[in-house]
Amino acid sequence: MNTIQLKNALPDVFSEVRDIKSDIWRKDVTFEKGKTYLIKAESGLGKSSLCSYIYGYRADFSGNIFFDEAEVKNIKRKKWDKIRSKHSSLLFQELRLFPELTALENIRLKNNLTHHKTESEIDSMFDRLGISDKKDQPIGKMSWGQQQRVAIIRSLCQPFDFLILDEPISHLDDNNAKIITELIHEEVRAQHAGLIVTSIGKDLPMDYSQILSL
Amino acid sequence: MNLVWKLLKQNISKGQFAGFFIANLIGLTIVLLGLQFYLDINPLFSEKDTIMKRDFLVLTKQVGIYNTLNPQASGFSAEEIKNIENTSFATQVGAFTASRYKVFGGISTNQGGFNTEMFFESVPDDFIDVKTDRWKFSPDDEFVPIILPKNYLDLYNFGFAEARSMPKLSQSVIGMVNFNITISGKWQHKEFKGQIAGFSNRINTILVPESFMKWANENYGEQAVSNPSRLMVEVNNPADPNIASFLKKNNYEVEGENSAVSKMSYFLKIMVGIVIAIGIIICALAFFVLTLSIYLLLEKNMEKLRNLRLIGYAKSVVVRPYELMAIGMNLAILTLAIASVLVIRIKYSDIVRNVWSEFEGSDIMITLIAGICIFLLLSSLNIVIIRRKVK
Repeated sequence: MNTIQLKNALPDVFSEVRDIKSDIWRKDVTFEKGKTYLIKAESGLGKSSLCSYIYGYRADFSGNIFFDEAEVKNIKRKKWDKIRSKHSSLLFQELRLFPELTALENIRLKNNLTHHKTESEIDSMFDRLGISDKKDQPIGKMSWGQQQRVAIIRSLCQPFDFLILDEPISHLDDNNAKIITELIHEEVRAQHAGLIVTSIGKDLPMDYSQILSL
Repeated sequence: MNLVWKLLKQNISKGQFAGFFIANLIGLTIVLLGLQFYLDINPLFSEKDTIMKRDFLVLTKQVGIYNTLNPQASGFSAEEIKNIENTSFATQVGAFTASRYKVFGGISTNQGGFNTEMFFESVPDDFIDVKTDRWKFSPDDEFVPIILPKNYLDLYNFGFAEARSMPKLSQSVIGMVNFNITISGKWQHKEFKGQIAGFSNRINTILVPESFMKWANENYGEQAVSNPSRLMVEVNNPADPNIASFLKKNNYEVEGENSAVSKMSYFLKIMVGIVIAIGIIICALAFFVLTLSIYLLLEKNMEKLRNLRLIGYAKSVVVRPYELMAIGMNLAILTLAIASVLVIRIKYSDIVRNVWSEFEGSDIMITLIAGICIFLLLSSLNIVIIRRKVK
């Protein structure tokens, strides 16, 4: 997968709104592999909707979204399974971790599927993000900031052409944001992937190829 | 432990599944037990007799003063036979043919022997289901196969042999004994060896093959041909109330306990049908409980299933634990149900043997196959339900 292309796309909820000032909705936008994008928006402008369209779990939009040549609305369920484990990775704004499992089990659940990282690589990511002492703690007992870091590790445990981060550092301090930026930058560069980050104010500090406002 | 299973086993209600398990076990056991019992017991009403499984009535006319004075009237005329054939309940009518020649039969043993005058009758071969290929005759044969009423054997075993301290004879031993038979008429006679081909509970006469009867009547028959005094009627349903009213209207009688046996067999079928139906209803209810439990479980875990799908797990992988769980439970139920049937069967076999010493029981195979079919049906329904529920 080399490009994600939006052609005149608009969430159905905005179909009544006449004058939309957006760099994305009702425009032709192309996200390319190897480049980095920041999408800035106030809340309520369809940030998470955009992520869900690109990740194939909602389709309540008009217009078209293409992965290379393929229309996302035509992609079959099995193909999505493959996309979600090999071609694109999403950090959900609501994280979608499993509170019954420990932090490490949450990571393994993903890595058992992709076999992308070794145990020691996972350990070192926990170390770098400063939560190695929380590895065996159930997710339900961790703070949101800690959960966010676990979810970031999980999103890196797979090969991807595009990494999509929906408000990755909303509950993290600047120091942690810096460490996460480094980690993500390394991974994206190593996989020569595209990066799409959304933000409602607190940006992941990085030099972006393009900044769009929603 | 498999992490997917660790996640998905959350919210499993042990109580609900235990309820399903017990209910379905009871239901399936009743279904299979009913089936097995029917298969085991059915021969008592059908195959044991040499006259076959189909339902027969033997009709005679009521004996009254009129018949006594006028022998012709006690037979069935061609018109009367036609009438019976045309009724709704009769599927086939066969007449008894009486011998029109003299018959002497006897046994000679080392201790002496006895001889007696006797008679033969025959019915069309189609009405006879003897499990040997001996039920045939050609004029060159030295042997004549004979079917005797079971009463005769009982009379010998429990009356004559008892009183004279002679050995009792089983059906198989009798089958090896040869009788001397002499038929005579038209100033000639011929000797045969009679061989018992079987015993009948239903037909109270001494039967020989129709081919023999025809040949003997032609060559030795002296008396005039008379109307048959007894008819065999094959009926599609012995409990049909039309039969009773028809018989009453025409002053016909049903001979012996034939109709009682048929009715018992019919009632057995009804009873087993009811029992199996109850079992099926219990199974269906249990299946309903399981379906609801699975729905509830899936509903409670829908968020987890959805998130698993979103991190890249295929549908087949996330539904597999539930499918395996359903199949596992059904398999355990099948195994236990079949085990229960086998145990209960041993118990009831003993009881049945008290009244029917030749009880052998039929094969367990049909019951086994029925159980496996129910298992496959339930399991595939479970799988369909699970796959439909999870998107």
